[in-house]
Amino acid sequence: MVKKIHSSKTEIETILAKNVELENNYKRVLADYQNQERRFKEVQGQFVKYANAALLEKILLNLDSLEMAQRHLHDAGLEIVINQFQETLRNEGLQLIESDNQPFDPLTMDCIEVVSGEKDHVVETLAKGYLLFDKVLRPAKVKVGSGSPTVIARSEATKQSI
Amino acid sequence: MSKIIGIDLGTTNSAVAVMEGGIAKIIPTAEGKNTFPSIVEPIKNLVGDVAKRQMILNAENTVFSVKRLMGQKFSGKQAQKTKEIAPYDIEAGKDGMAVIKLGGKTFTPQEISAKILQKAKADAEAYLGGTVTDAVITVPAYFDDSQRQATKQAGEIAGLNVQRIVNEPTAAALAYGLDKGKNETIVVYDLGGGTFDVSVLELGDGVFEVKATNGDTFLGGDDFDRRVIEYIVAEFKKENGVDLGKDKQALQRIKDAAEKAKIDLSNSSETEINQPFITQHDGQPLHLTMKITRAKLEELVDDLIQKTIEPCKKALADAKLDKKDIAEVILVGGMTRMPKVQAVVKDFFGKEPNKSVNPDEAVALGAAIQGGVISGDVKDVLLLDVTPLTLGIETMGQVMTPLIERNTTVPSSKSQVFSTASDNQPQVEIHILQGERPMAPDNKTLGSFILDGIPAAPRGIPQIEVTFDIDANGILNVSAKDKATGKEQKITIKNATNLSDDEVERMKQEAEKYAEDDKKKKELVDKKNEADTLVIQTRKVLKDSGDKFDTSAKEEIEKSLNELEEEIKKADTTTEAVDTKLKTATELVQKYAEALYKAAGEKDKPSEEPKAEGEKSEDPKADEQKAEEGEVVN
Repeated sequence: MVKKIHSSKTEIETILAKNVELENNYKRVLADYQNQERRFKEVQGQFVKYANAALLEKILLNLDSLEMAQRHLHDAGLEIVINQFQETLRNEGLQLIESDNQPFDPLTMDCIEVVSGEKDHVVETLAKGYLLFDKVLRPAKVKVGSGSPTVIARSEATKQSI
Repeated sequence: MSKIIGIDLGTTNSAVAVMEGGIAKIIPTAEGKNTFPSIVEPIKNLVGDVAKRQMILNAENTVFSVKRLMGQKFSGKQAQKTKEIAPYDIEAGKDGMAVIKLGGKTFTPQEISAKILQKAKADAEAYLGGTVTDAVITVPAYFDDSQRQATKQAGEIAGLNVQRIVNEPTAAALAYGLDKGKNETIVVYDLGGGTFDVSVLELGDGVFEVKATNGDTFLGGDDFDRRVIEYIVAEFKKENGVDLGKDKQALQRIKDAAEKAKIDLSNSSETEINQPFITQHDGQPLHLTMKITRAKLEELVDDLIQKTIEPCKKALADAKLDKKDIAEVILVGGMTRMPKVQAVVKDFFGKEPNKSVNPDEAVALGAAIQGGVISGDVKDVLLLDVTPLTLGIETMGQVMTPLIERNTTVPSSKSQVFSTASDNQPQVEIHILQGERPMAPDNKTLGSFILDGIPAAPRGIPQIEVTFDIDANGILNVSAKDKATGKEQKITIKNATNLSDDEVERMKQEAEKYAEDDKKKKELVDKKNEADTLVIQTRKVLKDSGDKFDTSAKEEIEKSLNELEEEIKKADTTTEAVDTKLKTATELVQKYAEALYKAAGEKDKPSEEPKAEGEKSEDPKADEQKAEEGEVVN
């Protein structure tokens, strides 16, 4: 008689434990789901604003080439075309990052080379950087001054490729 | 317990992942990428992409590849080798362990790694919307106790409870779900940005044991890039007599182009490199334009890929195993995306490697899965099924009305309210169908049942709620309930989700093949139903308010209705034909209805009485609306 009660006690315990486990799992899944909902809403809001980011990044490469061409050709007509192009991009939320002669800022600029020039200041911009609304779409590629007439040799010694 | 995140703390790049809803997923960084460089500037507190951007400028204070110093003695080979190439000072610290000296301060490798882990933690918290206190961190399988301890310490400095240190190949195997399979031996082939690692793992009772590891700590995707860059520079020199290797600016552009070309060639057999105005010569601008074929790329890097074979052989030898003992080969690391690499692996091991998991993310995902297991998130990974094909019932006109769309995750429950097709219909037949075609007879019948005892009512009035409920085991329960009487009938259908892949494919293809025809058929049925409704409604109006119409009007209307009915009954009728007759009849009815209202309106002016009549003639319209609401069940 006693044995039977004992076994049904553990049976109940097992069932209760399982119940607690299931409840916890359920709550977890519910929580995950709610998080997904929240994130989905956030992403949706972001999506509209930044959906063009990938496309714009590609198009900027073409603008780079046009500007490069203009530096060599000095054509009045091409100048107008480039201005138009830039205007169109500005209307999409693109903003140029001012880098020339600015103090170097790794948040918006990528230092490609260290050359002689004013210390920690941008000596030359190799590729323009842009913001899309308030986010950095593409950092400016710049040459930064070392403050000394010679380049720091050590940075070249690192075989670490970047 | 909050979520346990999984962190792949790599030599060159790091990634972080978490389990959500039973699935491991990569957490994007604050910059929106899936991985970030393992680069730290501890003085200015910069980590990741930001640190990388100022690395050249601030080389003495920017630490890269700190993983190579973790748990290493200063006098050891690794530390000495790193000292040679690092722009910052590496010295002996406490207990002779290697420490980094920069900016007048001393940092242990753990403190530097901690900064990387802190970023991972912060990004995870932003993503999850809450605090993260626990993590699983991965290390190479060959890491010794000292190195593992250092990694754990780094976690603690970062404010993380390191629940477990997991081997990278094991984490990858978890990401591939291999722990669910039978006991077997697998090989993890990891070719990343800077290092190559091959591991032999034995799986037994859900636990992985590392049998052997080997590799090349200075062989990776970066070396492949270098070959392409060299080739481009050489070709340009041949054609233009200018050595771009000396032009840092040009080199930077070539480097980007080379990496892009390498990636493109994994998907195409040829790619173009276009870099206009790459340099100047004799005052003239020069342009870099060339094509690279996949064959050429493979030729350029062949010896590099072959270099991975020797470590594979050695690992097998150490594990005392033969190639044929290996049940599966899984690929990790971005470079394994290259078709030639996959081919060489397949060739050597004699089997197709498994590449179903994103090779850049596998390790982080696996760490997250381990984290999920520890936190009890995932006891037995609950893989939920989906219904492979749409489920629905047959409605008026032999149309299939879907209730649960295909690829809906189960368990799932959907309900819809239907109604009767004819006046005083006493019962409805629920004919359950499975398939993608719009016409009922073209789909598979799963079962049917009848709900009777529906009280006499005009068509479209009764409300029959039909519910489809599939449980996690794929058992479908269909019920039909008369909302008025509460009377209910149900049926249970097993194996509603059990279809062979071939069968599902076949049905999908058939649906596509007949899509045009089916669409036309359905349009015809819909048009016929529309016409049918008009006929019945109009006849009702004529019956109820016939005295308001004069005889000639009634005759005209009746004639057009008859013609419409004839058209519907014709076997070879078309949607256009029915539509024409339908339009005629509709216009006719509207014309007379308008006249009716006009007459009622004129009567209205002097007294209130005619309003009652006005209301009466509104009834048919209200009826019409109601009938169109619910789909009609036969």
